[in-house]
This record gives sequence, C-alpha cells and structure tokens, in this order.
Amino acid sequence: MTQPESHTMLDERGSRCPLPIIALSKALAGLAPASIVEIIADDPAAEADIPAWCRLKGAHVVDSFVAPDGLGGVHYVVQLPG
Amino acid sequence: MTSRAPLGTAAREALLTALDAGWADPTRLYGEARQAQLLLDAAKESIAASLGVRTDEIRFTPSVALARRRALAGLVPVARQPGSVVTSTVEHSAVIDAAVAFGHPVVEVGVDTYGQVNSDDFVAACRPDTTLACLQVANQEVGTLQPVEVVSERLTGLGIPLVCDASAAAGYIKIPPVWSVLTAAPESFGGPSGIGILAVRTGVRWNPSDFADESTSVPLAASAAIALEDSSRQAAEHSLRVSALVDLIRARVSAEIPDCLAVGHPTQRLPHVVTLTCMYVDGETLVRELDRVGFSVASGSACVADDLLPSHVLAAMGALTHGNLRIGLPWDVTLADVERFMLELPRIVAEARGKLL
Repeated sequence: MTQPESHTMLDERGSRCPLPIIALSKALAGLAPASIVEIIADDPAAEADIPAWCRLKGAHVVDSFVAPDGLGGVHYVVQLPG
Repeated sequence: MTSRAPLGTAAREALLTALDAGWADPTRLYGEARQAQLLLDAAKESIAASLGVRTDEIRFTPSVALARRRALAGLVPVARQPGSVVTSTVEHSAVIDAAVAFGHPVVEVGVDTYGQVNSDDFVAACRPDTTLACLQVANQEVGTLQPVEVVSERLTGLGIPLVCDASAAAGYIKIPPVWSVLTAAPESFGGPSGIGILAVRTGVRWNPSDFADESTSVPLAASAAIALEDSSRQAAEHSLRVSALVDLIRARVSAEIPDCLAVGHPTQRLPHVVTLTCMYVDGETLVRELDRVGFSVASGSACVADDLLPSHVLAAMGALTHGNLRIGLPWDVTLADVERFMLELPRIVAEARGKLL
C-alpha cells in the first residue's frame, strides 16, 4: 500500500498527556502545511486533548478509529493547518 | 472536591467561640442545648439573609457532597413525574453521580467552548415527564456563569423543579432567587469544611423523611454563617476590582506566554476565578513550581495521581485537559500580587516545557 509522502505516522502508545500533544506540535513545526499526521495514542486524555489541540491550532481530526493491530489505542488522523 | 478558600479570620473566631458555647445537641432541652439551638437558629437566620431566602428554608448537611445528594433525594421520591433528570455535562461530578444513582435516565446537555449551557438546548432537553433539572449557578473549574434565570423562568411553566448548585458561586456573587433547591459550600467561601448548605424553597414538594438538626455541627454552622456574611460583604466591596485583575491576567497570559490562554467565559464569569491552559506542560508541575514561589493554585489537569480520566468539565468544553491552572483570587489580592504572578509564570512554564521537549 502506498501513502502520500506527507502522511506521517506517530505511535504514542504508552506516553501520557501531554506527550502525544507535544509530538503533534513537533510534527506541526517540521511538516508542510496541510500535511496529514496519523497519531496512535492510548492515554484516555488524548480523546479530549487531540481534538482540543486541533481546534486551538486550526488543525482538524479527519478520522479516528480503534487501532486495528490489536495492541490497543486509537488512531487519530489529523490534517495540519493549511 | 470543591475548590477551597482558607478559613477567614472572622469565621475562625466564630468557630472557636461556638466550640465552647455550642457543643451541646440543639435538639435537647437543658441549658447548654438551648444555647446551641440559639446559635444554630442565628446561623440559619444569617445564611438566609445572605442568600435572600427564608430562615426555615435553610438546612445543613455534614458535607457539601451530601447536600448535593440530598437535594435530589428530597425531590425524586415525591416527584409527580418519574421521568428523566436533566443536567449539564459540566455539573460537579457528585451531582451527576447522584442523578445516576436514582436510576432515572440522566440527560446531560452539552456546553460551548466557554463551558456555558445554551438555555434553549437545556429547556428543549426537558420533557413533559422530566422529574427535575439540575443546573449550576457557576462552573467550579472555569468560573463560567450558567443561564439559570432564563432556564428557571421557562421550567416554571412546565412544573419541573430546578436544583441549582451554587457551591462555586455563593459568597462571590448574588445568587439569583430562581431555584427550587439550592446547594452551597462553606469551604469555598472561607468557611469551614465538613458542612454543606441546602436550601429548599417553601412550597416545593419535598420528601418529608428529612433529617433533623441533631446531625448538624453547631460550631461549623456558626462559622459558615459568618464566612458567608464576610465574603458577601467583601464581594460588594472588591468584586469589580478583583474582576479587573482577572481580565488583566487573561490578557497578559495570552499576550506574553506562547501557547497559553485563559479558558472559560471572558465576561459571564465569577469575579475571582481564572483558569489557564498552558499547552505542552503537565499541570501538576506548574502547581508544584508555583507553590515553591508562594502561589497556591489548583490543577484541572488530567494526570492527577493514578486517576487517568481527564476532567469531564474541560473535556466537555473541548479544552485541553492537561496543563491547566485554576486560580481563585482572594478578595484582598493586589495588583502587585498579580504582577509578581505574571513575572513568575512565563519562567515556570518555559522550564516545565524544557523538561518535556
């Protein structure tokens, strides 16, 4: 399967808030505008914090789904601000 | 948990005096018991006057949590309507838990990004068979005021009793007299902990298997009454000044600290509460470091001890649940205090970020 070059995966399972948000913020600093970042997190706070960070930064959660690899956590597909 | 303020000087004196003079069981008939009853009556009278209600509408409970539970326990069993309990997503968790415990369907009405309920949404969630509605006067975590007056006016026509939790607001603002049942928290307005206030409006259908005065600590009641008088008087004097200091903190934090902002409503709020979100830091670290330089603040952070669930209030608002500071300004706060806080906070935030980045 091929993905666009701008699709970055971050596996933040096991890291607690605010570390997943810090990872997103580093991605925002290093990636082109409107890039897609897919972050996997299992801290329950991420469910509130990732959409909240997106709202504050002008990013969007375009999709979210339970991790299909059976290792727990949720994938959040985030489009960075354009 | 209710956000606490230190015991005020007058409340402390009242407590010490009443420990000597009001130790007896006020329901008994001997001399000291009658004296305790007089003290208790005086406390009720004073609290009623501060809240603008009738003396016989005031009751005390052994805790604020119990006041919240009894507010519902007094209404639910005698309700004409065995339907839903309508509340907001930002009520104190004890209110939501108490509502769920009755086994009635609980409808939680959502809030906007300031943590404020829309009155149309709230009233629309009330059905003809709704047992009761619960709406806080102000939010305990972010200070946002709720539209209790508009909601009450529209619920009255439907015959639905309104429980107002004033635990964050009493002693800080005038409580609108629109409730059927009111709860208030002495520990949050400079009174003692270990006592709650419950007011039941005359004429409200109320479960008669109610509790008697024998469960009330007379010294705590006397102290709570003085604390409420004191805080209400200081509110009249200092509210505008303290509220302007909150405005100053809100503006300076956004302008001077990157990725920090105030949450909660900018104008429809308690005069003394400001809650800040500092992105990319752990709120507990900020609380510890602020404490080190002489500021006691609370963290609304998600990562408290081993409880990994985020604050339901901040989550409901769509706010970040980490890196939050709830600051309750005392009535005697000065501009110099705020300037010193604003001198320390940027450095503390930067250092806390340095540890994580």
